[in-house]
Amino acid sequence: MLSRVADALYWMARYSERTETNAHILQVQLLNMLEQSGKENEYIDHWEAILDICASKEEFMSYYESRRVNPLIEYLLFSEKNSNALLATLRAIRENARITRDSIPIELWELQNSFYLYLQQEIIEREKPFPLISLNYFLQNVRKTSLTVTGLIEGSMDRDLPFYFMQVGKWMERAEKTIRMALIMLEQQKQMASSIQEADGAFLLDLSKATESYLRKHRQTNLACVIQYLLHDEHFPSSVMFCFNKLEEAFMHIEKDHLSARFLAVNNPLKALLVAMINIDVLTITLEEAIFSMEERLWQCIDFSHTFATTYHLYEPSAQL
Amino acid sequence: MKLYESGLFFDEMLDGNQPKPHYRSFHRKLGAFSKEQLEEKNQQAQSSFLRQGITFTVYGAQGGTERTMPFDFVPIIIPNKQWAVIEAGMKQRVEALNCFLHDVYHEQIIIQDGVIPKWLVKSNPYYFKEIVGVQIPIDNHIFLAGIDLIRDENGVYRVLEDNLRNPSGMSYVFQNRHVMKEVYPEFFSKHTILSLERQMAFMKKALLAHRPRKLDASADPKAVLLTAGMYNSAYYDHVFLAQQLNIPLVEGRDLIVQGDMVYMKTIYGLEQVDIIYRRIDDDFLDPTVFREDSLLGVANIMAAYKAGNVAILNAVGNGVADDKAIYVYVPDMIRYYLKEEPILENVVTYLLHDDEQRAWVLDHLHELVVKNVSASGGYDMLIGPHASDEDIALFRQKILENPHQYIAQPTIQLSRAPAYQDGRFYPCHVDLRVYVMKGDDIYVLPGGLSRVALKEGSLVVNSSQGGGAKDTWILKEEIQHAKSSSRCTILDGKI
Repeated sequence: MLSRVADALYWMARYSERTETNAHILQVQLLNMLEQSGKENEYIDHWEAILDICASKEEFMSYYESRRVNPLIEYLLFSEKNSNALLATLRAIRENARITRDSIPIELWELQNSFYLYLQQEIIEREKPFPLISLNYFLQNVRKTSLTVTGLIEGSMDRDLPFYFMQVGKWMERAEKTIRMALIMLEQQKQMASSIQEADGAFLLDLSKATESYLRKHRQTNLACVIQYLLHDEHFPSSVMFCFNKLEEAFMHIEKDHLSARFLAVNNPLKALLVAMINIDVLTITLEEAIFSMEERLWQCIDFSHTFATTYHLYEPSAQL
Repeated sequence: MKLYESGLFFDEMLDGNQPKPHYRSFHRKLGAFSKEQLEEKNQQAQSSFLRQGITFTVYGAQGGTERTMPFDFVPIIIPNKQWAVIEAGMKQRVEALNCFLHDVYHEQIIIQDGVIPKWLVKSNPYYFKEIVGVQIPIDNHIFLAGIDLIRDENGVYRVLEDNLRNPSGMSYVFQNRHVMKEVYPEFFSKHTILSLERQMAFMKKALLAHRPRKLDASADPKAVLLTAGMYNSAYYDHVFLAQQLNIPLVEGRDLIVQGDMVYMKTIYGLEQVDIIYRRIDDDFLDPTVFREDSLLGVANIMAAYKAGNVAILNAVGNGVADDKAIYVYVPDMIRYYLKEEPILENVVTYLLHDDEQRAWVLDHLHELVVKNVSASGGYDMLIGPHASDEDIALFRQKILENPHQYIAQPTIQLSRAPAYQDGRFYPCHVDLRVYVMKGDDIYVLPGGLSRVALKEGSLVVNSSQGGGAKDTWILKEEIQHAKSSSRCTILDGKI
């Protein structure tokens, strides 16, 4: 497979995952907002967390003066200034799908293409600011399309190189996002000077779509237990552990020879990450230690994605000699 | 159903206001649809193209650069006997053109024999001295040709233009048929037409026949399709062909030349490439030989080509055989190389470097069509009867300044066929691009791309200027109207 195509498949999957998660996070916040007033601390904290998880608080503050709902929504959904705005990630999915049209199911391309066209139409025709109620409908639509895409990929794609490169993109993005969410929540606790055993993890559970799964197994929703769960649970499909296992599975399919230099080049750092992750026990460490190890793991993940890209020549192909 | 009067034009479907025999059953089916049904189906067909992203890019257009080519559902139906003539004519023409290309890049006997003036070849911007004497696989310069046909007021098919560089639009032939079957299955029930299924197998065979000279006899050649990328106007065409031929779709930056070999950059490292079906023009192919500023091409690919390590299709330098001035000589080529009379005629063409012809043309500009010999897509063209006095004056000036650059042709009353838009049928001018593939044998795709000038009265069928497309049916047997076998009745649902 061409490096350029592999790269596009990998990024298409990453952007798909990012889009779905960000849409979900925004939906959670729109629902929360109904019960909060604009002056409450919690309300501001939540928006700040979301800005940092989905984009960047600093960048937002450099463009807008206040954290009012309409500019926040504009920035997170449609702004050209935000490279992770929903519209931007959806456009990136479509462009990458267009590059890889001959490697993905025709229906998948058609789905991405028609959704993007629908979206553009929607944005042109709607008056702004978006009324909240139609915003929710819109986010729901984004998520439904993502689910259909996932189903289509699972149900109709050959288990071949294109499939596994997309898998790597998806699980890499998800692992990073989960760690980032945990990190941002921990940092917020630091500002409030409360311990992670006392703080409440319900918001984090909502953001990471883990509420249902978690409450079936645990009663306490303190932040420490929630983070422990999001890092270590073997069955919850957004836990970091789960993502790492999926990554390993994908590598084993990409490389048939598990003693080859290429396999070891990607699998060894993954193993190291896995071990480092297992060794974190959020229940017994201090807040500072937890923040430190989350930061470290996040960097390790980012390094790891570079290793993967280098091994398979995924960077701009003109640099490949 | 009454459509319109065919009038003074030759109409594909109608004689007066009655359908011709080979259109009768289609016409009957048409009458069974209500206005609402037709409108709904029309919408459904157009949106199918958009959903599939079958769009072309309009350069410099405002407000969104992606557009779909409008599809018109009234097909062009061609009786088998007529098609047989076209097919034979196409094979003959492509054979002769290939002989010409081989000749001008080798011995140049046709020039020595005085059949074609030397200056016409040597001054052609697409004649490349660099490749004189280069040996190419199976001596074939034309892997895929797109030959444009029109019908005059008497219904006679004439060749309007040869496209031997990068003819595009073949994917539309397949897509038009696909949409037609999906949205208008009713129309097919009483016709037996030549299917497009499995046509791509011939193309693949022709492609792989171009084994580079140096390729090991036992090795399977590795072929790729080289595209200019997804912002190119014909990107959909490239995707479709790569998919159908089952070869990777590569861009210039995916390829690299090392030691006169061409490699593509894959996830597992470099992999050698033997056959390149390129869809970028000669000018952009190799920045070390042609345009230095080209970002689309591959440096040193021409060296690999000359060394016989890679086949490039269509061959480099084909432009010398398909410009509008050389066109005039194609019938002579057929007589010269094949010792045959041309099966399909050209359109009468005046060469403006000839003093006598030029003088006559300048006196009759308002009746003629003037074209730039190296332009395409309907650009730099004067349609005399529709032109303003300023335009005529402008072209007079252009011709006087640069007589070699222009040719003139009589305004042909292009044939018409019904088109449906906004709830009504009206007559539109049509032409037909026929695709010819050549490997060890020559193969003609049954039918081709019927292009239609949807602007009423317009003669320009190019998609960049408001043209649309129609499905083209080649009937398997002679006229089959009104033959009701039991099978047909069941399909009709009337048992």
